[in-house]
Amino acid sequence: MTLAIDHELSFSERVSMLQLVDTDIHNDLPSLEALRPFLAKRWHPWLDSGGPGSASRYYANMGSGRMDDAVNEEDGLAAGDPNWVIQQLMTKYRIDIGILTGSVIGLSIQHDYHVQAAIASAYNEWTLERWVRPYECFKGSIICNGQDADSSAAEVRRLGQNPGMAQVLLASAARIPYGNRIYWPIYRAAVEHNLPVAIHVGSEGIGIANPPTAVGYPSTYLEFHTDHSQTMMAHCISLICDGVFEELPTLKFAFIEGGTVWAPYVMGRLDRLYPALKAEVPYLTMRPSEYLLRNCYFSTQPIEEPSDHRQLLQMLRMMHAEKTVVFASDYPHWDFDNPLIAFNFFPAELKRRIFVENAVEMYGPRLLESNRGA
Amino acid sequence: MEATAARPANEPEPRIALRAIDVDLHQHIASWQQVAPYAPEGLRHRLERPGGPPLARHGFKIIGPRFGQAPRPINAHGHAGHPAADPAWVKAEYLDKYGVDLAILTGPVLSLGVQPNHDMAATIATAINNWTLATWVRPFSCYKGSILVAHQDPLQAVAEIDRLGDDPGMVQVLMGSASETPLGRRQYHPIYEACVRHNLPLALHIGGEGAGMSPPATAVGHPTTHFEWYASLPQVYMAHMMSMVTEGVFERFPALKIVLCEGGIFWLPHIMWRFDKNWKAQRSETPWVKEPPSSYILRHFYHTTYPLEASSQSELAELLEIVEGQRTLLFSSNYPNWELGDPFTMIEGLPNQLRQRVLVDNALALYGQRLLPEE
Repeated sequence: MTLAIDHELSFSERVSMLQLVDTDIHNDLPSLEALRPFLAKRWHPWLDSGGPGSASRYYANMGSGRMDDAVNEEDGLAAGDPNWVIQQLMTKYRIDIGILTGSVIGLSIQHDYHVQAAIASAYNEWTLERWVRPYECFKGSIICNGQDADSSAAEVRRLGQNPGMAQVLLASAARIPYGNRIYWPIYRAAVEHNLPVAIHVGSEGIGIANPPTAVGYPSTYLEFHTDHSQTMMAHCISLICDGVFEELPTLKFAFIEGGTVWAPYVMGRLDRLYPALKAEVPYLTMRPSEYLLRNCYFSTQPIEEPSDHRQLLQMLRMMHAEKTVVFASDYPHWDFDNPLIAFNFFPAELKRRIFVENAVEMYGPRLLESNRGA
Repeated sequence: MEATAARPANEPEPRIALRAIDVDLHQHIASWQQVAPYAPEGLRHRLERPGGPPLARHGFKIIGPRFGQAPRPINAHGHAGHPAADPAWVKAEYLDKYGVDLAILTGPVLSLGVQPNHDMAATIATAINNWTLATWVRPFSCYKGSILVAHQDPLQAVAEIDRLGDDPGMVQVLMGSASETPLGRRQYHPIYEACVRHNLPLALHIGGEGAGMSPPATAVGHPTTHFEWYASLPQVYMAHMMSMVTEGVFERFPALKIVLCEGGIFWLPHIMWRFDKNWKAQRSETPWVKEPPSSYILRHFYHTTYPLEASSQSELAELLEIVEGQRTLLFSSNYPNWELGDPFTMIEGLPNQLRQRVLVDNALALYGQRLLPEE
């Protein structure tokens, strides 16, 4: 499982030893209290009051929302103990490296951006201390309060050289689409440190976020969860149309847990419009689909499930999945995709790209660096 | 109808030699002064204001030349006029020259459903419907109308559908897709009941997103440009589609058919498969949704060709198989808004065996006898 960090071997030899990289593991924070050692004293009164007020999700899963068979009786959590996750996920499903996406992504749509920025920092320190430094198989995400670009960029710069941190992570729920120039300081900091920026679904319609759809609030969790991919599409279109990838050609942007095969729609519609409407976006120099294929990555889980498997492969071919799709398990959440069976009908070469090589390209050499210096 | 009933069941419908049916032609209001007389008296003065009624607009507009290669009338002074203001001219210069036999009019104002003043919105809808019937549909057998309604007040929308629902000149109900709330919600069900009562499909059309009472035009806020706005709009259809399936609209109204205008088709596979997967796990929340969501989507939704996403011919063929395009895809021109190319070039990539279905047969199957000119 940790062979790949053996530095006696060349980088490509180490990559060839990898079997699976998981881009989405939700390690649990047992309680905000765990952050106290990492939180500046002036914010402690918030913890003393039981934490800040928190706008919460009002759509509820029909089950517990997590894999009940993965719950550890010791702490009542499915991902509270790194060793438990190594046993239940990494070993069982032969995953070499897992990217931790945590459980506080939604902090960026809470109202008080001051305290949330402090919590994000403390959380990132906690991740490093508790999960990353002691284990070579985990990499952290620099979780930021996306609505506050200045503090986010500062946090990216603070941790950007840390070999234990693999990416910048923001909520996909937002007030303003991610192509907007207000966010560019975050992206500039990410590019400076060769970090991809990932966005993750789940906080749609909460706190200061927009309604979960462009026509308002759905009624049920079924709709709410299925609607999530629309925020991803809107951000993707916004990033391309506002010229982010023109300004920052090396920025890598990952769409986590928002599905994959909507990308052909985004590319096809934008490319249909571009020749006629490009006067409005004179700063773009390539066809929109070229930006998507060069700069964007899409994680598998929850992988779309047609009754005819071939159709999924057809759609994946349209979006050049051999370059753009990475594996994610979403452990320990209810819609976990089992990597040992869910992709069995994929051609071996494509599966290898999705399981390993695209992730290596997205995260870069840092993915295989030791966490000892983290 | 008797003649139809008397034909043996195994004998096919007589083939009607049509070349093309256009399900999305935007007739233009050159002057509100011409429409105002068709409004009910009470609010007529709102339409007579200089510049027309006070309507909330989103502020996105196309930069660059308008109408692409659509034909343009040239006036005595050499100026190009609006290409969709005069029904006789549109028939001569578009329908006749391009070989289009019938066109369904989808009108000029698609943001009525998000106008805060619901009485004014309903008045405008009524005026446009009357004006369309009087000036486009009654004088020309090649045009069919849509009953435009402002859905934020379902009571008035239903009254309008009942007023015109049996008019042979009207072939569908039309609503802007911009909406305060998703269209599956129960307050809109009387509208669907009225559609079914009059055997009318319901067309949704993008255009008012981000205006008036509409939420921002994407789920993450306001887009920056028209380019971004227009590319994002199919997401509104996705949200409505999920809402209508989830809230059981098609269990309650199994005969209801929905036409999504100008939304493309390449997003459908993702939506159907994500929706089915979630439904498998979460269906106890909505026990009235008895089939996998994709079954309702394939059975009840129709799509139009303008604009199809850019793709290779083989990708389009694969896509059309997945979304059952041989039944669900309808030819549309979006006339006169041809900025993205002319509508016949748009469908050049269609597989040959689908062309007749997309151009004619699917529309006939959907709209039925009412579509054909009266004998």
